[in-house]
Amino acid sequence: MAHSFRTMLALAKTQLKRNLRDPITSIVLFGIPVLLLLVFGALLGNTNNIKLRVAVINESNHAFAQQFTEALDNISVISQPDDALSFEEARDKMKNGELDGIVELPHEFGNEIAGEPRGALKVYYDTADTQTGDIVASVMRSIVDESNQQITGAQQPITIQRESIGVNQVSAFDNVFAMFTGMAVLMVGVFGVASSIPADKKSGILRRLHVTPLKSSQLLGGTMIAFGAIALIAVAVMTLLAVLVFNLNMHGGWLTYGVFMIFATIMMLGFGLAIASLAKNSTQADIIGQVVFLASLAVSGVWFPRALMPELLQNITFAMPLTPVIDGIREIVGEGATLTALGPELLVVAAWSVVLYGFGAKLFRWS
Amino acid sequence: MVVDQLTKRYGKKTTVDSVSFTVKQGEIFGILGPNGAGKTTTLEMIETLRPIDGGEAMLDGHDVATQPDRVRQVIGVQTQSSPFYDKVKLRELLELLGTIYGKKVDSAKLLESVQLTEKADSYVEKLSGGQAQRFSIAAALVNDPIVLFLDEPTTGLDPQARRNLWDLIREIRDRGITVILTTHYMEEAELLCDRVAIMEAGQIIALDSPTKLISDLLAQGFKKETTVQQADLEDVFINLTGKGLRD
Repeated sequence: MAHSFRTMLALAKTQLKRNLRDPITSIVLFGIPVLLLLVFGALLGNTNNIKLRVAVINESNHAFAQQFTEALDNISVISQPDDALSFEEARDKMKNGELDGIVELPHEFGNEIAGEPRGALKVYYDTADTQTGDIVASVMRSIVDESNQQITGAQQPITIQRESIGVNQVSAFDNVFAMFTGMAVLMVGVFGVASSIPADKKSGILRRLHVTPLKSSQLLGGTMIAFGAIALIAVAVMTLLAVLVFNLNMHGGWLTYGVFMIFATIMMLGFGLAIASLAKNSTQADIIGQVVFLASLAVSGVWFPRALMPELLQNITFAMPLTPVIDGIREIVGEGATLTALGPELLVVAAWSVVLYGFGAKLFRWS
Repeated sequence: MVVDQLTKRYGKKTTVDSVSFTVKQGEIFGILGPNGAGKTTTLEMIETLRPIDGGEAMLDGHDVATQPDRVRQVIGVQTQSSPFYDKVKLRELLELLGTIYGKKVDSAKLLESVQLTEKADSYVEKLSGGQAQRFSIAAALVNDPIVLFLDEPTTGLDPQARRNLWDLIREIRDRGITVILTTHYMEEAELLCDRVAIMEAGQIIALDSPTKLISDLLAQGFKKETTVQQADLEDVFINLTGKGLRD
């Protein structure tokens, strides 16, 4: 047993040196996730504010319309273009994704009737992004309600008060950090492990090792340890950057975070092993890896919020491997969750680990 | 080592057809034949790399088919391409192999024995063809094997490198290690091997010492028209460029 473990560690040490000495591997496995974190982190900052890019087209000559337009300038969530735009120009910018919405004040907007300004403003949004359109409309509705109250002086008989529940608030950056950290670990699995084993098979290295007393459990164990170390180094680098550059506030315990990431890493490397064992060559491994990677991003809420999915799909996607990893990181970082509280996530991670390692070990061949 | 009726089939094709031979301890035994004769397949079955479809092979009292782990412990193998991990130094590779075999390795001494001392911190992919082959032999000697398998060890090497490798192989034999090699170079088999098995289409068609095989042919009345020369073109090349290794 001691010899077996020593052999596994020796192999892990060799694999680790080999990968860390390769600049391309380092760039792919470390550089890309770190870069994404830096870019998105810089874009989001560590604030909770959202900014809607809205063009206000005032076609009315009435004074109220002018006042209304000036008042919109002072709304912090709305960011207007520097230059005045025509409707057509604004529409083109919205199609290009440079605007989130257009607010049009028609000719008759602000026309006084019985001493009160009247009118209906129009909110335009891109049908390809109804989610953002709803947000713009919602913000404008609030602004209009407030204006109506000021004009009429009447108190709303029924009102809404908003209050968040929870010890802490998960910020936009916390979400980004959780996403990219989970993604980084997935990348080590599906692009690191999944490529490495078939490549060694093709070059004949595994065949050469197979004439020694080395067992498949030692080879695979050593490989997993090496790539596991790489994944955890990537996580450590990203976490350090998040803390130092973006003031990430870790509400949970660092030990909890570390243990959770170890479990998450073990599962993600299992993906790599399963792909490497299934694929007949490096090309197949790369293709399967890309499919798994992209599908994971799609169903785990990275591209499309899971909250907007139908309930059945939400339940199904919760059981997809990347989802509990992202959820777990977010809950530890943003809400201080303990390992006990992450029971459901850890159960999904454990189940996937058993399936993937069992599948991978059974299908593995030396050549 | 005793090989008895060893057979390998792929579908309807029989690549190795009931091959039998015995290898004596301490000899250099060659398997000679053209490409596709079944030399490498025969070797790979004995090396435990391919399942045996028929017959048996016994090495040092162990059955290759049923006791592969025991066999792997006592053999050293240099495969045709002999690949190793890239971006790993030669001494690191030898130390890794030593750990796999459960042996403490003096990597410096091993590298010295194959004249690669100055390359201890180099990567395998940076070695020349001859250096890579010498390293692959060093790697095959990590576990002090009783049998060393060499699969076409001098293919692709220049004349100097080939001759130096022959000297190395003789030295290994002189240490008491049995050497089994495959080759399609007649001269290599004649100069190096104590006995040679000639393979063709999966079968052994002759087996004896090179001298005996030649004398048997002459006894059949064979006469080769030759002009006796004291040197050949390879001698010219070596004379012009030097006997030393071109690393």
